[in-house]
Amino acid sequence: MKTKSLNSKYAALRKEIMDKYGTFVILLAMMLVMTLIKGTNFLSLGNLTNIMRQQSVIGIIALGVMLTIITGGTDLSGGSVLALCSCVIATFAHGDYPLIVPVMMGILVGAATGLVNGFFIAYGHVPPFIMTLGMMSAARGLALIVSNSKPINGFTDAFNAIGAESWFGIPIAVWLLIAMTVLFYFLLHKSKFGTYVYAIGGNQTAAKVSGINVKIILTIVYTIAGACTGLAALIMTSRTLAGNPSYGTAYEMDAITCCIIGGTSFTGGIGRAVNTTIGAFIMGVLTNGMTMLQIDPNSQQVIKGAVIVLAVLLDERKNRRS
Amino acid sequence: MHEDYILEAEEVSKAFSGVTALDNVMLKVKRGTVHTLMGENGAGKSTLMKILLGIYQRDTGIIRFDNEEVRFKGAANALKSGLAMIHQELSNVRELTVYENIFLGKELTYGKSIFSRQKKMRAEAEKLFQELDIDIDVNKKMKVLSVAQQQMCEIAKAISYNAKLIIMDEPTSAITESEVEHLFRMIGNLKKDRVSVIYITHKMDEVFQISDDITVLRDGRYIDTLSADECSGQKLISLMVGREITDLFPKSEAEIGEPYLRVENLSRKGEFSGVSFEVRRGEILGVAGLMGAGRTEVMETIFGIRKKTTGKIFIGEKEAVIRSPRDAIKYKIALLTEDRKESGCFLPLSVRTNISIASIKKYVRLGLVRKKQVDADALEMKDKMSISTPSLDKKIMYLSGGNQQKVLVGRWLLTNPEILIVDEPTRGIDVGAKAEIHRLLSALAQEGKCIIMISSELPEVIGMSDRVMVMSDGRMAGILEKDEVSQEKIMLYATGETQVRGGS
Repeated sequence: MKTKSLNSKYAALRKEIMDKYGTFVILLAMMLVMTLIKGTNFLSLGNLTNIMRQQSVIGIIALGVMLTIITGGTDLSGGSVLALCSCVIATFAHGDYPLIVPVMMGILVGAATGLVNGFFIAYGHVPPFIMTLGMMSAARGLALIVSNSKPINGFTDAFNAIGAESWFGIPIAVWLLIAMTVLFYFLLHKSKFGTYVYAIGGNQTAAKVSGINVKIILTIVYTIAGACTGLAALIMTSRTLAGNPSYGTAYEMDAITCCIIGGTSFTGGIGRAVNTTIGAFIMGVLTNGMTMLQIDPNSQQVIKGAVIVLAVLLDERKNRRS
Repeated sequence: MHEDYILEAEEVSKAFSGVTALDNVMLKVKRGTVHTLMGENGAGKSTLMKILLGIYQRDTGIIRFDNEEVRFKGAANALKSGLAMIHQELSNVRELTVYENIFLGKELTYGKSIFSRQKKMRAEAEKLFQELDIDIDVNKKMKVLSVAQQQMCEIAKAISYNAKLIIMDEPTSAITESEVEHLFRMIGNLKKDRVSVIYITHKMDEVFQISDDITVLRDGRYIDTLSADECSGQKLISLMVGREITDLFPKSEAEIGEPYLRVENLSRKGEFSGVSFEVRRGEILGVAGLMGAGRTEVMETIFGIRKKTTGKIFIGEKEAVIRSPRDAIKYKIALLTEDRKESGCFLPLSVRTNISIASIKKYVRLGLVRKKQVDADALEMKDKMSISTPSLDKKIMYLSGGNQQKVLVGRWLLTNPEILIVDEPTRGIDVGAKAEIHRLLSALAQEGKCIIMISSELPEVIGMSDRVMVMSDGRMAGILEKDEVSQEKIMLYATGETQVRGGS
């Protein structure tokens, strides 16, 4: 009798841990497997920082996309907006302006595209899929116009430092991702705004009845998603030493993948900030690991596809069990 | 002598997870007649119809259709045998044309191919409409037709399946008077062709206009079958409500104060008009009426979910301008909505979030929500209403209906409302939770709050209310004082038997 209750307690604890930290456990498991196979080739500070740096752009976009998915929407414009912001940033990074100008311009232009998305979604009732699909095309076109269809380069050293330098051995890009994750953690889980975001995704009608200004919150959500992409563009432009209208192709899909791997549900109302960042790392470790294991790039695509579907399948099962 | 019955259902019973929904119900419909089925909301009419069609399977009993025992497997299956149902919410494909809808699922094709013979279908549909004297272009898309026209099409579709019995569920609830006449002429023609109709309605005048026989159900039981010639509206109502009040829902004594909420001539186009009433502090105003009478619509308009066309709302002495639920909450109004799942619960979210969402502003300091304070208040509510949940982290979807409802009541109490509107507060919840909610409403009235309670359960309305407003067909049929309230009187007003203003 007593053992039984102990057992059930243990089971409940295990379930709670898996619910909250399941994504992290999977990341650790993947890293363990890679370490067992490749030893210090995989588990070295150099390689791990590299993975994180590679995922920082996608990770920051993914945080914004996660917000939109939690409200029950989505954002497909990330990749194109990244290209647009990158071109705008590049135009201002030549040294005629102080460093703050290109930095802020990227975020502002990103936020502006998000504001447009959010406005039409919230007030015009355009479905998020369609609105952001339109923005995806429009932003790409604007990027080509702004840049005259050519890459823009030749930046100041100070600007180039953003993507190249490290603080305490960790690249600035990774610090930014960590800072954004912490910011989103507080925003989503500790602020009134976060509660409203979950509420809108959980039940929009009930949110309205509970006195939430659904339209304004939705507009803000998409604006934040756009601003995130602007920040990601800053990292991208600085790291590659160029602004390029062809940047970011299919990044929106990678960002959505990170959200899904991190357990964000497309039905809305479910998702956690830290898990999305972990989702980005999982995808990074997966790519890095497969390359180390010399799996050819074409097969890698197939495996990634399978992983996405598998992640959702497991999530479904977990939700049904409880 | 053996009567010629198209349908004989005898001793039909059905229980849902132990709760009896139908208990030994009988329904016999003669060939070529209109048989009206009457009963209050929840009397078992829909359940019985669903059992006839085989959407639910009966636990016991016999159903004979056209002299053969049947056990249909659903609406499509029943239709093939000649039993059709026209639902209140019409179920056609709006983007397809009339004739495509008529032939949906039995398209005429060239041989066994997948290619359909559009011309032939069109011609046959036209011929069918001519026979039935329906003047609708079969090439039109369904969505451009009026509700009445769509109804005609559904009836025509039923006939195209050689239906011998057509069930019509409140077919006149959304159509105009002249359309009703047309419908009745059509039903008359059906009778001539020996087609029978089961007609479900709440409107007394219609009952006597078209019925041959009437069967009354009450609380899932068979009460009686009468010939329309030998009965009256009064008699039907007494049969419908004639239950003894076994569950009493006494409201405790509360001091009735000044009028606090006053609604003047509130209207919303197409839904209700000319609604005026006031609620005093410490009072519970019951709102009774049949489904579709406009009760929910009125309350949602007061709360700012729907926009009013005309009318004024006064709170205290001042006129209140309410354009959204946010405004309403500022005026300290709370609305517990009718549909828990649709507009109440945030199913994937925790009990904590669900209970604190409407009042979360007051817990914010420096931009952060103070979880400790939220938890303290949430736990207080949990105790106050004996909400049974293992923790505040539990997602509300895993709670029972009664507990969900208590969480929602808690949500509104945390906003400290002065006016509490509850729409079917005890629908679909267990007896314990029900008593809990009644106790709570009483206590709130004693604190001097104004309470408006919509309920379709007459004993609940009568037990809990100080006064009862009855609505019928988008209009206020009357306001009854406590000492003149009775089930019969409420039903008289609700069925539109009397349009005289009561309460004077």
